[in-house]
Amino acid sequence: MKNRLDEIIGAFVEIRGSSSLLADGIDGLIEYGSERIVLSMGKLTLTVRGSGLTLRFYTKTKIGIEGDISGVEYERTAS
Amino acid sequence: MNGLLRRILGSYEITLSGSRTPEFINACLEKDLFFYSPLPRDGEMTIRASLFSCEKIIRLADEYGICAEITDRTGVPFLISRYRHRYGIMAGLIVSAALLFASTQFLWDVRVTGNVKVSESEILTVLEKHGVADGTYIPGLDVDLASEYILIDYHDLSSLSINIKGTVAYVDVIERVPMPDPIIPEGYCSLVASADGIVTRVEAAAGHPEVSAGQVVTEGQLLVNGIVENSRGAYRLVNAYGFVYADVRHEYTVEIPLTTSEKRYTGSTETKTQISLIGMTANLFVSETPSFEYCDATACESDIVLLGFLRLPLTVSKTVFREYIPEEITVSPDTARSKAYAQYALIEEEIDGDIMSTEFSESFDNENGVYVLTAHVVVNENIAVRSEIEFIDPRIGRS
Repeated sequence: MKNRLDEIIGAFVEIRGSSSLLADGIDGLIEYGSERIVLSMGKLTLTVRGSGLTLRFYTKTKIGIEGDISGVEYERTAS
Repeated sequence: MNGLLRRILGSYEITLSGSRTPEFINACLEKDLFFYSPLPRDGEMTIRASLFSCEKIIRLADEYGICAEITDRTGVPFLISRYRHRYGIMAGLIVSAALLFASTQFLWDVRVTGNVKVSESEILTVLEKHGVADGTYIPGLDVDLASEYILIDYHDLSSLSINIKGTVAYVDVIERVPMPDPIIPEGYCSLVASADGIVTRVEAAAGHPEVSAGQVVTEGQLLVNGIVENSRGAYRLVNAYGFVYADVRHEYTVEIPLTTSEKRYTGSTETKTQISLIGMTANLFVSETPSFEYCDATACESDIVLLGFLRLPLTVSKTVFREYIPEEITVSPDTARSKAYAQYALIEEEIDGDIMSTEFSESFDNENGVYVLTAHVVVNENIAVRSEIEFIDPRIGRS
């Protein structure tokens, strides 16, 4: 039986205050701008909105975003 | 640290413009093309890449239809490239690096620790005699052998270790503790008086005391007998030992001439400077002697230290000559008297024993122009000195 926890472990997002975001388990970068960054996370996309957004570090599965984050939005992609 | 490394290795700033920039970034990661500091800027994006990955990144950007333009170059490789035709700078850098490396093969400093009674300069002199000094070639120095030779030659040290760290030799010493003299020396002897006096106290640890308190003794008189008679009337020889205290009269005379020569400094000075670099010395003057007829000399030596902690193998020695003119001055009798008493005070500090009384007498020697102060001092001191007993074998001379 598939554990819901396994689904969560595959994509992990940590937000510290409103200035730092760490996403672990991403598939790739869809959009990158100073006010909007969109990440692909399997069946979901994660949109980070704000101002002065920059990539602190970026690997194949992890991304660190810094800046003035005003909102984080999940969206299910069409299967 | 990473920033410093990037400055040393060099990096390019690349500006990317195009709609497929996020895809391009994903592709860079897939192909392990490393870049850093991605900054979105007015529809474009700038990244920084190393010299090794820049070309591949630009080629990949071209595949994705992204315009990649190098907008900045920073780092040491570009700096060197800019000055590559300045051969003098290159030669200077190479020579400096070579000199710096060569200088690390020599001792810059010798530091001594652990000494208490033996002075550091004395130890440094001994070390220098055995090849451990500023300017010594480190690969050619056998510290174990040098330590052994130093201990053999210099008996005031019982242990010595030399550790070389970088260009500094750390010398740790342990001084030898001398064996104390035996309290009672060997042989047979009596104790006799070293001066005339009135005995105040007799402490005879061995031998028979021949005097008692209150008795007047003369120089050479027997105080403690080393020939002792036992209860059966037989005699035996002992090593007489002890103390005999007596009041002894001493006389000390101080003479102060009424006309003396004093120095009057003119204010003129001359400095002779000498520089020592890794044991090699250079004089920064032509003549060793100053131009003054009369002068005092003061020498000082200082090491050059950078930033308060980095000691360079450079020592500056300066000798300063101060000119003076000798002038004859006449002192008043009162001044002469004061000087005489001051001088006597110094003599009094050196007297061994307890001062019981002091009487002064003054006089003027008009013929020689001298003030004379005489102190008659009674000192209570130990007057017992050893006198060996001459033992004559009675069997010698018999027929």
